[in-house]
Amino acid sequence: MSYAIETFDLAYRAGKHFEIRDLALKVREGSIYGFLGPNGSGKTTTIRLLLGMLKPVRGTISVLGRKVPDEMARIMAQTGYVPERPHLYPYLTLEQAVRYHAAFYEGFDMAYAGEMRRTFGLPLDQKLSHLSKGEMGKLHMLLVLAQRPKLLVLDEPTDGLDPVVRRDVLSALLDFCSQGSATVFISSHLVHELERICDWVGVLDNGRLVVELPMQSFKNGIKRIRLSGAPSLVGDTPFVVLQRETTGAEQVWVVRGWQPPMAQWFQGVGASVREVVDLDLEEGFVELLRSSRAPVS
Amino acid sequence: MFKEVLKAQWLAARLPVVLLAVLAFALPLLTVTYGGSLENAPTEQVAQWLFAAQRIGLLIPGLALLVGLLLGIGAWAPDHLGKHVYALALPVPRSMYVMLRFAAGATLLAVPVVSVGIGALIATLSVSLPSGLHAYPVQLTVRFALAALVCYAIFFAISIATRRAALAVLGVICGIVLADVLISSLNLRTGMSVAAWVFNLLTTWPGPLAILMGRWALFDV
Amino acid sequence: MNGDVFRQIDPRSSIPLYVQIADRIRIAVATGDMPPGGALPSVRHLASQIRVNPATVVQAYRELEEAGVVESRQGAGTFVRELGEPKREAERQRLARRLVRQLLQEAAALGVTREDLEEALRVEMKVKLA
Repeated sequence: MSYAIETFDLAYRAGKHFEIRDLALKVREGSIYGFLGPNGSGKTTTIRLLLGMLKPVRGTISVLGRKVPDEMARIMAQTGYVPERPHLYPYLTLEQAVRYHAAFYEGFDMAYAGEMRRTFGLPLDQKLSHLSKGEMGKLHMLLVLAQRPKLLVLDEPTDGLDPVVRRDVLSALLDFCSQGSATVFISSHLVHELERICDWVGVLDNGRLVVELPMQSFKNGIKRIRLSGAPSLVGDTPFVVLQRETTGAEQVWVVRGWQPPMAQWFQGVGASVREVVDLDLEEGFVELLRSSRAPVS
Repeated sequence: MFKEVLKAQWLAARLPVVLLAVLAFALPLLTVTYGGSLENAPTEQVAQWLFAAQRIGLLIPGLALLVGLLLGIGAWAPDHLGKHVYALALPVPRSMYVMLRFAAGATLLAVPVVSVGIGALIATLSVSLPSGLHAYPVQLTVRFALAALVCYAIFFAISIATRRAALAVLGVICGIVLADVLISSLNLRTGMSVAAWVFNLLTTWPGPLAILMGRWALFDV
Repeated sequence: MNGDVFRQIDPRSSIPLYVQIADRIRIAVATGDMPPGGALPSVRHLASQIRVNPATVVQAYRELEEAGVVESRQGAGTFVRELGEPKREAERQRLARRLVRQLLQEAAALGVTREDLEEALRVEMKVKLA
């Protein structure tokens, strides 16, 4: 198993208190890894650490098998990075910007770039400062995909874009992914979007990695269970209890790591299961965060 | 790679470079406002003319400083705007990127330098000097080139500096000014001045700004 | 292959995406929308068009291949198998059972009784049920 991104015991602090702690990311090569977290959880900071733009307080980072920050130039030659905020030179025209970018990457595919430009409908001679937000978003994706990189690091690439543009950008991304075995590390707080395309998910909250699981396990594993007769004191459970609520004669538990045979555990404590409901990624995400911030007693 | 960096820098600095080139071309020409033949003119007239010419010529080192300042700061302006994120994400080591930018800016220096050269040549050709006076267009141009390069390097270096370093430089300057104010208020009559001492240090060889001093005359004995 | 068919794919459903995709292809094959010998869209094209992970499409195609609905030819792509009539009938019956299962589940959730259902079927299909 080789990892495109691997961190160990990563910690970072800018002021007095730690922004990132005990971070152990493992992004498998060839996967599309969704980095989820609420605003302010430290997603952008983590990405900056991964790309050698910030210096960690402790811990190790390896990207594409190389150590950060020692081999940064080699790493970045095979990495496409779309930052949170536009960073290209606003006074260049689109064509000039593409040529400038292309000069730095050996395998830059001009033909592919041209193809995407036509698909996206971007005007060649427009200055970047005059581009709309959607056009800028498309341009960023165009540039990194034309690099034909081994790794894509995308920081909220569709943030603030209208749904049509979002679709176009994601389509282009997936088209590229299906051509080869690139790894994608995409951070977002738009959970629904990532639900379709990611096969792994890592959830960051308050600088800590709360879970890191295959997408299917994460989705399947979090359930809302309606019970009656549930005990008030709970010892060891075969699953992780995220929330417990009582409404009238019934109880509602939200659990993680659920498997159907676990219904027997409830029978064992004299409770009966009325219903097991799947939570979609967004609901699961919300419940997970709620519980990680105020752990159930 | 260098070609693209140069192109990007030119696109960003087009306007100031052209304006500076026009100025650079004009200054040597301004030193020969009299024009005409001085060959058989009386010594006094020649002396007056020479004095006036050299007075205007003093503006040329000032221009070198201006060229260095604008191109040095201009080299980093686009990156500063984007907080250097783009540059830091490129697959080139930081040191190499800095060199690319420096070389691109230095290449653009050629434009005002060549302009000075052409202006000086035309000025020289438009005047017939009496014996004993010579024109130094080549020396002037070379001196200008070196001065502009030194100033460019200094402002280029200051420009990359982080906010902290820039504040430090500002702090030092304020410190010098404050020290002088203190000294004069104490009325020590020592004739000392920290600012004057620093100025001396910088402008006498091997101080970096020494190149701006000295004779900047296009015409001389 | 009409892209609209895939538009109803719901990542929020508890049914895994690859199962949803495979089902829709099965339906298209059973109804004749995708004729035998016809080519399935390439993984690349489909993943990009419906915006899902290419691995998901690969998984769907693999499941279809295991079920004998499609076959992949090296270098050429994935194609609908020539299903004999018995196979196609089995597929239709499978779909019919699934439809009925869904109907019964929904009826139960809505409180519609067996009698109500039978009456409705009689009316809609104009057929007497034993």
